[in-house]
Amino acid sequence: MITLDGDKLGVNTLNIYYLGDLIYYEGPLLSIYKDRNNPKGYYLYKWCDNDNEYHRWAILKVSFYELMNFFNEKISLKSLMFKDQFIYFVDVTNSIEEKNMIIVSKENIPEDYTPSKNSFYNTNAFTTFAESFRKELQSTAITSIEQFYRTGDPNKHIRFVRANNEELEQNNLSYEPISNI
Amino acid sequence: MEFKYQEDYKLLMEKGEICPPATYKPKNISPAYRWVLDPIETPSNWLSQYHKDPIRFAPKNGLIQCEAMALSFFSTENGCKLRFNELKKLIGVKVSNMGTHIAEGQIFEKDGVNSEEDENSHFNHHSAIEANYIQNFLRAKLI
Repeated sequence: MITLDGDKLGVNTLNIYYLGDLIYYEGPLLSIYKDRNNPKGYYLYKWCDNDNEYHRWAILKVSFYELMNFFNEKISLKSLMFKDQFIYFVDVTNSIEEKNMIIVSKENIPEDYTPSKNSFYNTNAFTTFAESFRKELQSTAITSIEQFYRTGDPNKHIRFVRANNEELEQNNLSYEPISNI
Repeated sequence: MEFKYQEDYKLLMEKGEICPPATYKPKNISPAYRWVLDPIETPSNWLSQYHKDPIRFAPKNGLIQCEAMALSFFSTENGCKLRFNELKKLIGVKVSNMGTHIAEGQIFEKDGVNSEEDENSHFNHHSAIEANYIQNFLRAKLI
């Protein structure tokens, strides 16, 4: 396995639970977990490498909005991976013990672990779980929009824009936190 | 038909999971393609993911464990290549740890049972004890 140029950390203290596998080929390659402490917080575990002892995963913290934009093909998996300055990696043994937690600056991420710039969501490459999860996220977002318009509550932190000024369709919605507007 | 992993299927059955799924059928499929490492005879090429790392799948449910006991094949070379390139695009070049070559051969009725093909010509295959893939997959070329 590639030797990572980063800082070793202690044990993984994330308080998360497994939701499902988004990409699967004879084993999970991209899995999603939810943050127990933050209802809008998610983590992606992206498979990167393996040898006889370990499978190496990149751990990517992603928000509800980032996931929405990923599933709506507005941003790529590569963009999700490189949005923060640092990325966490963990080596998982065959007996599912997490070892060698390491934090790596994005400049030092091996090219071999990097998705291509065209790494957008597409139903063919992803699991059926991914598609149902996408629909669930979208449904949550629509409910939030409805609540926002009904109550005018800016704390819902959601707005929508019409994509390309075309007729409003679920798949063309784009979401941003109000604080970013 | 007696399966290669019959004992594991029995354990899954005790947990309420029918494995291989009842919809899987034995059939002759020629040609059939699969990603492999060079050389084609490498034992891990023909071992299910579950049996490479059983503990890795221990916390998963019966459905996922059953799927992990199957081998992935394609009925078209193009489908096999496309899937590889798609995963390379999404995950990175390290997907080549799973295969660097495409093996071409054939699957016989006696070799096991198969799922329906998906739109990319991919299907899952649960191996019978009689299956001898090294004998039936003789050619491999770089992906």
